[in-house]
Amino acid sequence: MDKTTVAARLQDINEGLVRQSGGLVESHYRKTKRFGAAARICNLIRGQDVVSDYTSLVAATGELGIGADTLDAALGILEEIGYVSLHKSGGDIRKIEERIPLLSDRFEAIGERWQDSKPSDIEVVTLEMLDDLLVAPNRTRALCKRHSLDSSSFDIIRDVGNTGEYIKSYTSPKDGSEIAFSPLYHDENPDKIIQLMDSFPSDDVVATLRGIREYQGKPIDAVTDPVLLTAIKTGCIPTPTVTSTNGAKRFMFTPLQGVGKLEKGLLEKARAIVACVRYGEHFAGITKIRFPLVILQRLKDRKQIGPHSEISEQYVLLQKLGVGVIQKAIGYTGRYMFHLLDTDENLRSLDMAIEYLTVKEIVKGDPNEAGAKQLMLPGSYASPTKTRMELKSLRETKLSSSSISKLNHLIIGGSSGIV
Amino acid sequence: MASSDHDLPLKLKVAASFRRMGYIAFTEVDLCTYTYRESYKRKQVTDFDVLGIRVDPDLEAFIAVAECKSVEVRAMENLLKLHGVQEFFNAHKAYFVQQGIDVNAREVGAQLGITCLDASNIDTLLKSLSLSEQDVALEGEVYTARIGMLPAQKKDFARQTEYLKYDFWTLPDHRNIINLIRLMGLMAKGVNPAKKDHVVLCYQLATALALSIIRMAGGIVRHNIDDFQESLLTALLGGSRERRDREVMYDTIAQAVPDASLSFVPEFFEQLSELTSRYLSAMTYSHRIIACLDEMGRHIVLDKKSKDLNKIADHFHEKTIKFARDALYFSCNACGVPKEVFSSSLTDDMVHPT
Repeated sequence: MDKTTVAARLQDINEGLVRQSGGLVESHYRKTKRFGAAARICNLIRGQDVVSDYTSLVAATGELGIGADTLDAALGILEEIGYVSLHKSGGDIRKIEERIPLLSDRFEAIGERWQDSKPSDIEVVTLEMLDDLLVAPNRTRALCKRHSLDSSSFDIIRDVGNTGEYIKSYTSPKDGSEIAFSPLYHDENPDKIIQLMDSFPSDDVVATLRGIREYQGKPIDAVTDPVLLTAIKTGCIPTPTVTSTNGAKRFMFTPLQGVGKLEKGLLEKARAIVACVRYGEHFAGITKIRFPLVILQRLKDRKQIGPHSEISEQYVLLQKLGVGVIQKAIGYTGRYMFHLLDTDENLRSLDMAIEYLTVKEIVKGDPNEAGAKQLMLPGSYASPTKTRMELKSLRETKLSSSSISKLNHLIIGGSSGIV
Repeated sequence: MASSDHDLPLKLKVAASFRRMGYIAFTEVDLCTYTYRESYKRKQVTDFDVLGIRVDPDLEAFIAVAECKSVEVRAMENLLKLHGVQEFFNAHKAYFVQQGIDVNAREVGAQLGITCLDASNIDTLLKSLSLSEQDVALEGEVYTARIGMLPAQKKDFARQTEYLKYDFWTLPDHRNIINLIRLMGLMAKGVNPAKKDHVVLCYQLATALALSIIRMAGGIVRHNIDDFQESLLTALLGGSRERRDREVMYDTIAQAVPDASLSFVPEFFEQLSELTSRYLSAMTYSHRIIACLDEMGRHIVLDKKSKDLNKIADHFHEKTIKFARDALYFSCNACGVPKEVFSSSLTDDMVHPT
C-alpha cells in the first residue's frame, strides 16, 4: 500500500479503535490507534496556525472519541513530522503552532511515519485487509489465504474490527460460508460481488477490481479483462454514462458503494463529475482536456469552467444531478459555461471527485504527445519549435548532480555569481 | 554620500525614530550596480545612512530613507542628492538630518517632501515619539555588536555577507528569494550554531528572505489574490514574459540533455507556496513578521542582555510570532540550515523570558 492510502485506512478505523481500550487493542493496535488519531487531528487543526486553548482542543478531540492521552501521543507524532510545535509549561501543553500542509498531501508523511514505526504484523494485515474490503466484501477463508493469516490472528482482527464496527462478517445463506465486509464502505449482502468471485475462482478478483483505482473513471471501451467485463455486465461496478459529441460513453469506478443515502448520493455525483472530465480527456471533439485535475480544482476555486462549445452536452449529466447549471457564455458565440451550485453537498462531491483523481492519478498516453502537439501550435514562438526539431540530432550529455543543481539555479533566474 | 563615524549619533537617533514609527531600520545600506566596462565589476551607486521598511496589512511595503550629516554646510547639495536617490529607490519618505540646515534648504526640502531636521529638531522629534536616551543607546549597542561581527562573518561566509551588503537592496524580490535560498543552502553545512556571528548572519539572511517573500506576496495581492499559486510561480520567475523565456530555455536545455532532472519550477516552490498561502490568509498578522524577525535577531545580537529590549510577546500577536517562526522553519527546510541555529526563537523562552 502506498503511504497516502495507509493514512486513509488509519483514519477509517481510528474511530472504531479509539472507543476500545481492552487488552487486544492496547497490545496489538497501539501505533495504529495513535497514528490514526494523528491523521484525524490534522483534519481538525489544519489552517488554525495557533491553537492557544489546549483545553478546547482536548474537548474537540474528545468529541471525536480521542482521549487526552491519545491526543498527547498523536501530537507528539505530528511534532516529529514537523506538522506542529508544542509549547509546554510545567509539562503541560500550553500552545500549539501548526504547519500542516495546506496545499499538498498531508497524509503521506503520516503513512510513512507509521510504516517506519514498525507496526505489528496484526496492524499491517488489518490495514491491508481493510483496503481489500473497501474494494469488495469477501469470504473470510479467501481473505486469510490471501494474507497468509492463521485463525488466531484473524480472530483478533475480526474481534477488534467487530467491536470497532469497521470489519463485520455474516454467514452466507447460500453456501454457509463466512463473508467479511466493512460496514464503513458496503452494506451487508453484497451478493453480486460474491457471485463474481465465484465465477472466477482462479482469478484474484479483488486485485483486478482494485486495479480500477489506478485510473478512476477509465472508459470501458478499452476493457478486455473478462473479470471486469463480467463485473460491468452484472452491475458490480458503477459505470456512469456521459453523452456528448462523440456519442454515449461509460466510465468505470471501484465498486465502493458507500453507506447511507447521503453518502451514496455524494458518490454518484463525484463519479459523474469525474466521468464528465474523463469524457473531455478521451473523447472531446475539439480540444481534449489534458489535466482533468486542474479542471476540477478550477471548478472548486472559481465555481465555474468554460467557455467551451462542448460544455452544453458534456456536462448535462451534472446538470441533471443538480451539481450545476449550463449557461451560454457572455460575449462568445456557441460557447457555454458550467456554473457550480456551491451547496455543501456539491462541494463535498467535488472534493470526493478530486480525491478520486489525486489518490491514484496516473497520466496515461504517449509521453511524446504533448511535445508533438506543442510543435503544431501557432504563435510567436517559432524559434523554440525550430530549436526543438534541430536539437533532436544533438548528442546527449550526462550531467553531474552539481551541474544539474547549478543549471536549475540559473533556469529559475538565480544570479550567475553565486552558482 | 559617504558618511563618517561622526554621523553615527544622528543615524542612531533616526533609526530609533523609524523603529518607533513602525519601520524596521537598517543602517549604512550600500546601493550597488554592476558594469561590463572593462570587466564585470560592482560599482557603488550611493548609500543610505538609514533605511526603514514598513509593511502595511495588505503587504504593501514602504521605504523610508535618511541622510545624516554631522556638518553644518552644503545642506542644499546634500538635500538634492538625497532627493535623487529617494526617487531612484522609490522611497516614499525621506529624512534629511544635519547638524545645521539653512533656511533655503528647508524651503526646498518642504517642496520636495523631504523632512529636514537639524540636531535640535531630531531631539524634539525623539521626545515627542517618547524615545529616551536609552532607546537610542540600544540602537548603538545593536549597531556596534553587528559591526563587530562583520569581519568574522566575512571570513567564514564572504558571499553571503557581501550579498546582504551589496546586492540585496538592488535586486528584485523574486531574484532575492532564489539567491538567498541558494546562499543559505551553500552555507548550511558550515554553520556552527554555537558561533554567535554565524547565528546572527543566519537571522539576517532569514529576515531578508522573509522580507522578499512578503513583498512578493504583496505583489500577488495587487495582481490576483484569488489565483495565488499560478501568480506565485509567475512572480517567482520574474513575471509572465520572463517565465515564458525561462520555460523556453528549460525546453531547449531539456532537449539537449534529456532526463537530466532539470526543472524551471524550483524545488522549494511547494514549501514557498505553503508559506505564502499562510501569509496571504492572515495578513492582519503576517504583515508584521519582518518586524518580529528583526526583534528576534536583535535579541540574539545582544544575547538578551539588555533589559530595554522589547518582550516579543508584548509587541507581537501570537500568530505573528508563529508566522515569523514559519519563516525560520522555511529557511531550515528549504535551505538545510540546522534548526539549532534558530532554536532560541522557535521556543517560547525568548518571547516569554522569565
